[in-house]
Amino acid sequence: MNLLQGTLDLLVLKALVFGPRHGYQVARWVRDTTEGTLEVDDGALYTSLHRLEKRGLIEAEWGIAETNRRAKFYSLTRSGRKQMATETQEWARYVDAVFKVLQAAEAV
Amino acid sequence: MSERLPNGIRRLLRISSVDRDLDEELAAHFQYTIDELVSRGYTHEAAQQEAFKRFGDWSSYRRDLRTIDRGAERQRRWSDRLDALRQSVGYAVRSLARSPGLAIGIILTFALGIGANAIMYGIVERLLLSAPPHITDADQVKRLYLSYYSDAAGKRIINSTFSYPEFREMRTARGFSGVAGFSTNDVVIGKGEAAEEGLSMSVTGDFFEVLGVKPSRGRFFRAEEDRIGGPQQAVISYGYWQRKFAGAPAAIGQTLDFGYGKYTIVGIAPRGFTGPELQRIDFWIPLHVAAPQLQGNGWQDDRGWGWFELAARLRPGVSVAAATDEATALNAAGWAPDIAKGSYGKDPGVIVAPVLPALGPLAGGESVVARLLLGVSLLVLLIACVNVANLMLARTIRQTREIAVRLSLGISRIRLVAQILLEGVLLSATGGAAALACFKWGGAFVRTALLPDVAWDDAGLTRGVVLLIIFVALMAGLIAAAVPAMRAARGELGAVLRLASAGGVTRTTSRVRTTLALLQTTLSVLLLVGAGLFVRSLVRIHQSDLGFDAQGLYQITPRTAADQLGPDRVRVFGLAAERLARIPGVQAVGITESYPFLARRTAMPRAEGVDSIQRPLTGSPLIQQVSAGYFEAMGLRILRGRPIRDSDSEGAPRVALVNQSLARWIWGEQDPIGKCLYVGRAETRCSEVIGVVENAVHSEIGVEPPVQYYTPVAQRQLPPFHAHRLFVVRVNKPTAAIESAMRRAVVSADSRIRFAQVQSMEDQLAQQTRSWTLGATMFTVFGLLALIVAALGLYSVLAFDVAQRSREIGVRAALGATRNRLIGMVVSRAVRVTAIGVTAGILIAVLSAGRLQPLLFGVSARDPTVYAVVALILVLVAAVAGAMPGWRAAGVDPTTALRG
Repeated sequence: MNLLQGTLDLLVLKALVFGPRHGYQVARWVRDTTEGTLEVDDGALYTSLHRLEKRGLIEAEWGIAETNRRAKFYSLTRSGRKQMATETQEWARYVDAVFKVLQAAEAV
Repeated sequence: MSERLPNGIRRLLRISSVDRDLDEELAAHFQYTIDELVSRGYTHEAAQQEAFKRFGDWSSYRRDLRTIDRGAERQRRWSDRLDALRQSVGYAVRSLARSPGLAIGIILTFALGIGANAIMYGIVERLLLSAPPHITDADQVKRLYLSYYSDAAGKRIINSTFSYPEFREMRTARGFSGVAGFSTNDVVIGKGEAAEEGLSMSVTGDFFEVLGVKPSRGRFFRAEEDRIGGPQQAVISYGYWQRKFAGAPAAIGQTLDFGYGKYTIVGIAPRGFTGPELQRIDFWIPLHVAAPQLQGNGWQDDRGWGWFELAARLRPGVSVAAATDEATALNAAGWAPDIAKGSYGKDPGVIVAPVLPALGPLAGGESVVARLLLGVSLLVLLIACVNVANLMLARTIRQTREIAVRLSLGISRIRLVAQILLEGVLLSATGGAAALACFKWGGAFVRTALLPDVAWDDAGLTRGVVLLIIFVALMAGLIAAAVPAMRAARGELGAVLRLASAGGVTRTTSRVRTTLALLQTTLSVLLLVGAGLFVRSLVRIHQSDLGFDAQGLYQITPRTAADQLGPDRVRVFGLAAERLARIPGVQAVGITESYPFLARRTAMPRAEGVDSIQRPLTGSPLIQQVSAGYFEAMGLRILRGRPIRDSDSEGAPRVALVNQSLARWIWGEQDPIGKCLYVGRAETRCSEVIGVVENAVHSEIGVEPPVQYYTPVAQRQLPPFHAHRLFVVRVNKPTAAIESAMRRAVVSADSRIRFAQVQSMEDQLAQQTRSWTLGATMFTVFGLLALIVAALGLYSVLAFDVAQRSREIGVRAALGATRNRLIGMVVSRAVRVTAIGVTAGILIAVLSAGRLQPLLFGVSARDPTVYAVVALILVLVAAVAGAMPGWRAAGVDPTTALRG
């Protein structure tokens, strides 16, 4: 299943809700959580991360990962957190609406 | 380290560091992925393949990521810069606030310099640069002028008035899409004491269309309504509408009684519309309706009677040259029969010029003066800049300690320079804002004082003026800060520091400040020389022998509706003259047909026994029909013979008076009294010359008085026209009371006289001499300002010097230098510096004198007295400016100074 760009951004934001993560961790979290349902290129995830950083929704900092390797850690900014909250709501409404249509009985 | 690198290189490094970051991040990602896969049992190669597969299209993702990162980097850099700027501004404000006196001084200096420029530019823009308001595509609208070569005058005559037949020809020109005629008249609205004067413009029906103007209310009259006997309609100006009707819509439909007709208001012109000129017009009325009432017989047929001006719109695509050729051909064809007979000049032509009179061939002296004043105000700005540069330099020197600390803390030299430039611009921008206020409050005053006849209604803060203020403020700030900034950039301040902390200052910095003071002196010399020359011109004008005596002299013109007095004119004028003479304080009353600066009439005389008279170089001889009291009222002396008497009446033998020039011109050294003169070429009856009158200025001050002769108005030796036209009255003492008494006396003489215009000769002279007054006032004001600023500049340099050199002075005092010697040392330095500046200034003034010469009167632009006086003033001022610091130097106590 492919993803729309906005949806991918939302997933990435969600991945960072639990604290700073570097790119690989984000990729891994997405794959693990969706149990492979969504096929997302790692490259697309990075694009999303960098775009969100440019928009000021997340910020990045170089740090040392648990493996003692240098890695770039991303964390949500205040506006990123707010953005995620609103987009989550919208997404839920959207899904709800689509679902209603699909579940509808025959013509009223 | 990176602080020291030039900006360009740093930017390159940053970009590549952005790329490096990305590559490092991606490398880490692959490492993690491969590690994980290997730990799950993949071989290294398989893990690598899988990692790449999971990543997707490597090169395209990497390209996208780079683009995003570089964009983000650019964004970041901009916001960094903004932050830095905000910081710098904050720093500059705080540092300026620490010496508020200096900052205010600089801001005021800038405000003055910029404000003066804005006001002058506003005037020049209105007079010369921008078209009259509300005209559409104004560069396509042209004013037409007539020209021809006059054998009599020995030169080409240029003229802006056309006759009706000439106008008809111009209308047939295909190069113009429309040709509109207009003519201004003074009108009187109402009657008697309640009457008021206004300015009306008779215009052809297509006038508004040719100019491309839309009414602000109501309508303009239509082209087909402008015909003889057409409806009497008027368009009023926005200003008149506000003044008289308080802007009420009910104004439309009201009637205006001009005496010669009642005109119904049909529309209101847009605000600030003045027509093709910048005069304050109150009414526009249809020319063909008004002309029969205003002009009398022949207005339509007399080819030689030019009485209105033309504005034409070029047809799109037609060049000025082509339109000129066509119009010239039409005019020449029209005059062909007269040229063949020799009754018109040779080689007639039409000139197609910009619609603004100030840009046309007949531009007056005021536009030249306005241009000159713009130059002067630029000089003032330059002086202001130099002064600010000097003050800022002093300030930077005083701050050397602080600057050194900042340098040692690692601030880059470029930052330092930027900081100084920023301070300059901050000061000049504040000065610019003050200049804006100065323009708003002072501009209107200056404009009406300098050029009262121009309608300034809408000449407020135009976009041009605002742009000018912004531009000038920026430039002035940068220029003024350039010198201190340059010194900071060259790193001399670092060197200065070591000395400064020891209480000394480098010689070079002092030299720069001295040079700046010198430059100020040079510039103020230029302004003061200009002031001196204009003031001398003005004095010369007032000293110049006008012939008549201007003080206490009035001209009174009765206004009737057209020529309603008719044959009663002589009787009514006689009655009015009697009443005028009875007013206490009135010394003499005369009646005349023309008057200096008002109108002139020429006629070539013949003299018995003199075969052919060459035309005089000063132009055709003037003839003037006057009453017995004229010479006494004017203050003209009768040098020989007798004046006109009341007995020289209609039936009495014809007599004439001649002026000195005419006597010499016709009879040379012979006595003209008793000679026989024929008034006009065709005249057969002889007039006996009974007296010689002193020469008098007639149409222009400063040119040789014309050749002139006089005949009794009662004898009507020339075709009558309106020979009884106005009164000249001499009074003991001009007062408002006597003016209104005279007005009443004339109005009461006949019920058909609606109004009497009373004008003093002094006012007329003021108008005539305005360009000199303008020059003298402005140069003097600016010159004195420049002098004060230059003196302050010099003083501050010397005072600073003395303070810095107190140790050296102390040594000198200890070695036995006397008080006077110490004072003399400082004063002589001041005088030396000034002498150089004065020499340079005088040199420049002498070299550019040629440009000023045409604006002067009776004074050479290289007048040695003026130069000497200016030099003397400056040296004196320099001595005073030097004496005060010198005094302080003399007061230095050697022991304290040496102890440091």
